[in-house]
Amino acid sequence: MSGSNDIALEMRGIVKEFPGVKALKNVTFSCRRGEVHGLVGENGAGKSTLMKVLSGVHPYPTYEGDIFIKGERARFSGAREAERAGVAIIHQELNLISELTVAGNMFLGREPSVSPFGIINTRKMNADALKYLSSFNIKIDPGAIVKDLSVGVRQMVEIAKALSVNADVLALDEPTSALTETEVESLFKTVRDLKEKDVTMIYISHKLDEIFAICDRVTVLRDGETVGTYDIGELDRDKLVALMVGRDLTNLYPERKSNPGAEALRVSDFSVSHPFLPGEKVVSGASFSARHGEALGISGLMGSGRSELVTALFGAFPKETSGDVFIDGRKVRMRSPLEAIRNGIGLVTEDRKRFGLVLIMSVGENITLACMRALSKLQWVAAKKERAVIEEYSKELNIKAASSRVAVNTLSGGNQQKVVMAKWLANSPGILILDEPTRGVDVGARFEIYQIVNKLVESGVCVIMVSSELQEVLGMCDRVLVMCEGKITGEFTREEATQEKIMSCATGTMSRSGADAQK
Amino acid sequence: MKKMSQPARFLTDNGMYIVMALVFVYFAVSAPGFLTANNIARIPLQSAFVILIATGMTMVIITGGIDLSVGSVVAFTAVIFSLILRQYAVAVPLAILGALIAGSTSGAFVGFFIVKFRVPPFIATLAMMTIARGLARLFAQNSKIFIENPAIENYSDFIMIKEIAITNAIGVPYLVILMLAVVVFLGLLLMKTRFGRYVTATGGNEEATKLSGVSVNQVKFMVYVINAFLAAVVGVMMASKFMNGNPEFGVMWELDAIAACVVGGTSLMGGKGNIFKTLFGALLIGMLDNGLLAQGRSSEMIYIIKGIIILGAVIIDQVKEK
Repeated sequence: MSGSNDIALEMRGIVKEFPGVKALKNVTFSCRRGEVHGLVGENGAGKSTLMKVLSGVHPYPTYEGDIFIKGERARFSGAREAERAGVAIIHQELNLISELTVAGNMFLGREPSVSPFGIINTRKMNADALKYLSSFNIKIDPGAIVKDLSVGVRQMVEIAKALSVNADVLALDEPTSALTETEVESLFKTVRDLKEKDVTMIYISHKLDEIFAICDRVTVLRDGETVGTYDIGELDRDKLVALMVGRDLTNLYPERKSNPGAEALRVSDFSVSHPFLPGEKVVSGASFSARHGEALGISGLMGSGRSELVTALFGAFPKETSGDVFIDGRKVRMRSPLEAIRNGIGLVTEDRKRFGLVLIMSVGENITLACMRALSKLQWVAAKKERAVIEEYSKELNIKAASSRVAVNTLSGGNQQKVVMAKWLANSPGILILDEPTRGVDVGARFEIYQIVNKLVESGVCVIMVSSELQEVLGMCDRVLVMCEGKITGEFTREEATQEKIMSCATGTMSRSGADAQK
Repeated sequence: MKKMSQPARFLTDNGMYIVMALVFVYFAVSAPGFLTANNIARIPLQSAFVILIATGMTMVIITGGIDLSVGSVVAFTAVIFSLILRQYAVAVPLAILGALIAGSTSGAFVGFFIVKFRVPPFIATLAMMTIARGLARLFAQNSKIFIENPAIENYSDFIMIKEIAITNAIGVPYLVILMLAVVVFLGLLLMKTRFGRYVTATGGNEEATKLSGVSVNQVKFMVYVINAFLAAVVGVMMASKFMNGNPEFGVMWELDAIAACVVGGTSLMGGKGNIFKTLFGALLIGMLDNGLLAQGRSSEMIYIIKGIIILGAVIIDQVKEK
């Protein structure tokens, strides 16, 4: 049965190296035409890298191995060429232009024009867009401005855009991470419709329920290698997790003695209003406490308000914030990050490139940016002292860089993250907030980051860790708070927490009282 | 990223200096009177005013901003200074102080609008450019304000400021000494102090810098005040050099200053720049002006050739970045 016609795509012996990391060691991956093929693995297993190789983002000679699309060898020099061959990828971060209409986005760069002067024939464009949208049962007005649409609808627009360039291999990278349940339903419906039309889909997700609900076959990646490809029927949840992890969880998350001390932080009735929509709240009425020597996890879906909560605690939105904050029993007001720093708080932000690092400055200058005051006298920077601090923390966090003078953007993701952490450790914080500390960090560096976190907790620092990876929260934290739609909807100790309980609180299917009843 | 061969790297790393050397040799050969001690010494003196503005401009650009108002602030300050001296029989140092405060205030306004109302620097300083020029013309009633009050001319300290502007004492004009002092001071401020680090960080990534506990608003406000202050210093010196406050002083100087920064490798994207390199950038442009004039070229030709050289210098810089 496996005539070459039935194989939509095949990748053989793919090896991809980054400076310092071998992201893909030897990956084999193939999809049949018209199937929904799940691609699973932990963060850092190589899923995204594999998709970037497939879609030409990592162009031809930068990787080793062979790619065949519909039996033909493909050597893409860029994403454009991959698109022309019918391979499209829908990224986690959507790539739409928010000020343009749906149709404008779909036909960007190839708009039908009325005249030689290049005036866009909007009517024709909208009609064409509608044709594509309705042929896949996607109900969106082609004239709607993208910024007015919800994330779920935007995703549909992305899919329609890909299909309108005749994509027949579609990779969906974590498509549901920001969707509501109804949106997930309609996405699934679209996926099934597309399958009917012989579109091959690669479905990447951490949510195993979705994999079981929608996929025909699954390929498991682990540490840059293919573990195997399985029919969904021969797997169950536990088997799949075992294949993904491949070892005990205790190996993944280093051991730590739990010995919480005095209360470090107490927050009561803490709210953050929406910066642009008056009346809306991104965090409402949050109350919790955290202790010295404790790792407190904050879990929740994207958009649940977890990042806003910790960023506001750090004094970043003084005008939008209300509620009381106590540090070591003392009531404090934090109207700026500087005040937060003076109160002993550090924040490793979610998006290190946007909020954590000054990419064109050196590794050393980034490490000392938040403790310049301690390193200078009457403005003059004490060069020797600064060098000592840089050396100390580069060593302590095992930052791999040619020298501390190179620009931080030359480092790998994991090492960049370590630089951000070094910046805050150099301030000796009493409370360290980590927002998605291991996002985009490879497996080795992850383990190092976990070890650093454990060392901090053991030395009495209060660590608050926001993470969308349930396993990470369960493996690292003494206690877990769960957020949903700006509210804290659950609180569990390490012993009582399970993925299912956290997920149901995170999706709002279990009310706070329900969560309390669990205790 | 392609690795460049060693000679190619050397050429692009030192592009500006090489262009400078080539231009120098070219003029030495082709322009009569260019290669005399007197003429060479004249280049830093002729460029001094633009260099003073360009140093402050470098800091502004490193924060990711731009300042189009400084040329007008030079004129505004010169007019205010001359007016104070003419209308009120105050001591000259007081008149200087008053003029410097007036000029710096324009920078404070610009900084305030940029920080408080998030007006883009281009717009805020464009507005200040026309406002300051308009005020200068208004106060001067569209003509020059001559500093010829006999009562003041007799003051010895007035002679003193005249000397600051033009007189030689040890062979180096005071103006050049002052200019070099400012360059060194601001150069060290940028490279060796906390404020300087914050300036660079703000331009590199404002959000990340803010979240590192830096008041980027303060940093941004300060660079515009410093820049306006330097423009005010230039305004006072221009007025004392020419013995009048002319509301048409400093036209297009902001562009000369920006060109000096850019030729010196300052990135208009922010986060990258060096005041000492700006000095050389300005000297290169000054040398072009001087040499082309010595060659007997028309002013139109000088404009065109200058534009081409500026473009070339920046292209070398871009090639390096790739």
